Amino acid sequence: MSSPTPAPESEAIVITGTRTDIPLDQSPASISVVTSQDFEEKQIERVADALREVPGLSVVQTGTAGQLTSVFTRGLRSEHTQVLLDGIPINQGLAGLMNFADFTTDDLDRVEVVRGPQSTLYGPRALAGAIQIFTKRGEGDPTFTLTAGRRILRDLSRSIRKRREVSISWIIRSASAGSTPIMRARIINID
Amino acid sequence: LTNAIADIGWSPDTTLRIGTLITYSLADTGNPNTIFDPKPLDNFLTERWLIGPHIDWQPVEWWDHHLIVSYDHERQLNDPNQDGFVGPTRALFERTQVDYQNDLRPTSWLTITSGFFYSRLNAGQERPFISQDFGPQPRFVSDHTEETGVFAQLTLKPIAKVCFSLAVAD
Repeated sequence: MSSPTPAPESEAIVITGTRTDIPLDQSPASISVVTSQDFEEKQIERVADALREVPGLSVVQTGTAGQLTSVFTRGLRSEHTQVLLDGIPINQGLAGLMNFADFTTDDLDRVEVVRGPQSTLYGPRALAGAIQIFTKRGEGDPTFTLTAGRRILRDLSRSIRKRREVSISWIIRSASAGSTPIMRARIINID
Repeated sequence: LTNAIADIGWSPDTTLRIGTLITYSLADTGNPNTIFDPKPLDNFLTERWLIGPHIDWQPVEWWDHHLIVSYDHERQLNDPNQDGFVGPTRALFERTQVDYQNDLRPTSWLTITSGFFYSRLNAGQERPFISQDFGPQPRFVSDHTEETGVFAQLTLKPIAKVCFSLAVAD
């Protein structure tokens, strides 16, 4: 699998390294970004699969899809990587482990991976690094999209994988001056 | 696996955005006994939902405020046996978090970032039990952790393509 698509350095803006907007080529931390364009072009359905492409990370899945999936940054323990969703820490349990098995890439804009200690900005769990996942924000002209479908995949080993997906995505922008309600949602069901 | 994620926001003007992040996840995994019998054994069910209201406010071009309050609730049910004698292990996690950050940009080459963080996690677990009227009975154990922190950071960009960042936290 190839490495993440390199964004033009003059345009890519990252947040996770300093908690503020900063060009990727000026970030003081070592950062990789996997964008929604990568998700679409490479048909990446789960965040764990996106993280497999990032240098410095080891993704370990204990079995088939849905089983415990852990990420190790630069060889440190799994709970030493702080995972954030739009700035909200989402590590699980008292130990702060993170199971990526249930995390799909639907409605995600990009994933920023910061390697190296980030505890000053993100707390003691960011000893090895931080992974921040950003959802998409509504923008542009009013659009309404509704897709629904069902797909069944069957391979030679007779295992059956069913996928049902209902995707609702809508962006509403009021024409009245100064008022901008924005909503975006997506629901996915994989058996 | 069922997943839903939504980010709903409203901007009355260009300086303010009020929104909330909502996620829901339900995963029921297990090891099938054979490929002809897909009913999972050794079940592990995880259900999680999160709500994270947030406010982004930029009263002037050189001053940003970001406030996030979040609550998430996760329950896990691990049922390794379906023999009817040993019941499942249940666990429950509830977490409340507050994160505030403000960014001052007095000049084009200096950014001063500061903020605080608070988190409280309540965890509880019901141990596996034997389904019987006497002897060992279900036991519920619980614990909680609290985290508080403050941080400040200076980011200097004296010349193009050069960035110094200095941060402290407690």
